[in-house]
Amino acid sequence: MTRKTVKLYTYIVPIVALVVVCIHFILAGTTKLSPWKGGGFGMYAEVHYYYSDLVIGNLNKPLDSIIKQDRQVAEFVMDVKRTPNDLTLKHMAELVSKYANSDTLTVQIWKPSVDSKSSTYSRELVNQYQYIKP
Amino acid sequence: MSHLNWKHIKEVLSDKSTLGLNLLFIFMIAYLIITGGDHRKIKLFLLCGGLFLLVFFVKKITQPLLWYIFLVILISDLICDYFVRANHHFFLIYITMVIIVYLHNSRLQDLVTNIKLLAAIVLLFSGIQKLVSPQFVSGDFYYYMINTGGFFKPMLYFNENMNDIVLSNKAQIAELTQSDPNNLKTITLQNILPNLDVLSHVFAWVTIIMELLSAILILWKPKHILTHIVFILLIMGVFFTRFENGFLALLAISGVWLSENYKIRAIYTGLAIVSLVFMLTKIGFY
Repeated sequence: MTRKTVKLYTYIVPIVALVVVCIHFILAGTTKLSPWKGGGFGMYAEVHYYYSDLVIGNLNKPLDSIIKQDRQVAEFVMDVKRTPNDLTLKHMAELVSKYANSDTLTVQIWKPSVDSKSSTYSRELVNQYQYIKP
Repeated sequence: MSHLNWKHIKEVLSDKSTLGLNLLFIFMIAYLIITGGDHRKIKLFLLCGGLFLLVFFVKKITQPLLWYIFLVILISDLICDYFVRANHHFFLIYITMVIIVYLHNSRLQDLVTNIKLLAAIVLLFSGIQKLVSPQFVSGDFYYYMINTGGFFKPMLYFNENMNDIVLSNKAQIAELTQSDPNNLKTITLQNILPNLDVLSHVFAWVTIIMELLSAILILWKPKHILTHIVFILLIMGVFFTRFENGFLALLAISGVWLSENYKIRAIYTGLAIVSLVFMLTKIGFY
């Protein structure tokens, strides 16, 4: 091994850490991954995605009761809040489509929006997806 | 048991390699026990496999193999839940990998350089992520967290008025959550402190500056006393803001390896032990 290779091998772990951080930023840009996850060290940069709201219109029963009875839906709630992109919203729509009143479903993710100047708290739409049953 | 005296404590603090390794070992055991419930079957399988290798194939129980087992268990968590694991789980994996390299080549200088680079990466990107977040730089994040009791929690136990305001804010938010967000309703939060908007804004910038400054100083002057004062202040600042003790213990253990002065190392050791206690008692987060 050359001296350069030995040096690179010695510092391979920080290089891996940098690669993981880069992957996080790419995923944050392409899949709306939360800064809290994925090894990008963005914890506490914004309100945790746990406090986001998942809203689905046109259901024949409240979403909360669907989450309680359907394990697949329950397990996917946090995933869609963590990465609220079109693909995850579409998948959520597919999972709940059997509880829909009509052929069209609207899935939305809202996040807390705070304005310290006016002391107000409201909710801001992060993404929404219109799903039409095939 | 030998008599415990200052000379003995000084000897322990002087050997930073062993001290750091012992603290990390205790942290690792605590962390693996606390997170043991997640994917329990996979972890038990890996643990049994590791023990089998130890008993039948390794004549002497060497440390590197033990750390390999820890690494495999930590990585198994990552494979199952890459997007669920906290950032300090990644940090712990990197430190474990660095320890394995060190136990193979015994080059303390390489270990210290690797820990230096890792600590700088963690702090640098933590600062950058906050810097690019409009919610953070405006102070709105701190404003929300403080007014809803997410930060400075112990303060609420001693001040009934503040506690009442936090409970009222939380109740208002819970009520709003029950309504359809499409109605675009807005509520007004009460401040637990006067001028909290200004304080939150200042506190947000102090946090960013401290994180970026610590990262730069660790890279530029890792042995300088000022670097360790800033780093210790940062660790203590996070500790008083929120009990993120798992992450803090790892930062403090990194400090043990980075410092050249045994008195500074004693402070890092104290911070690591306090963080471990908070983590194990579940007063703090792991």
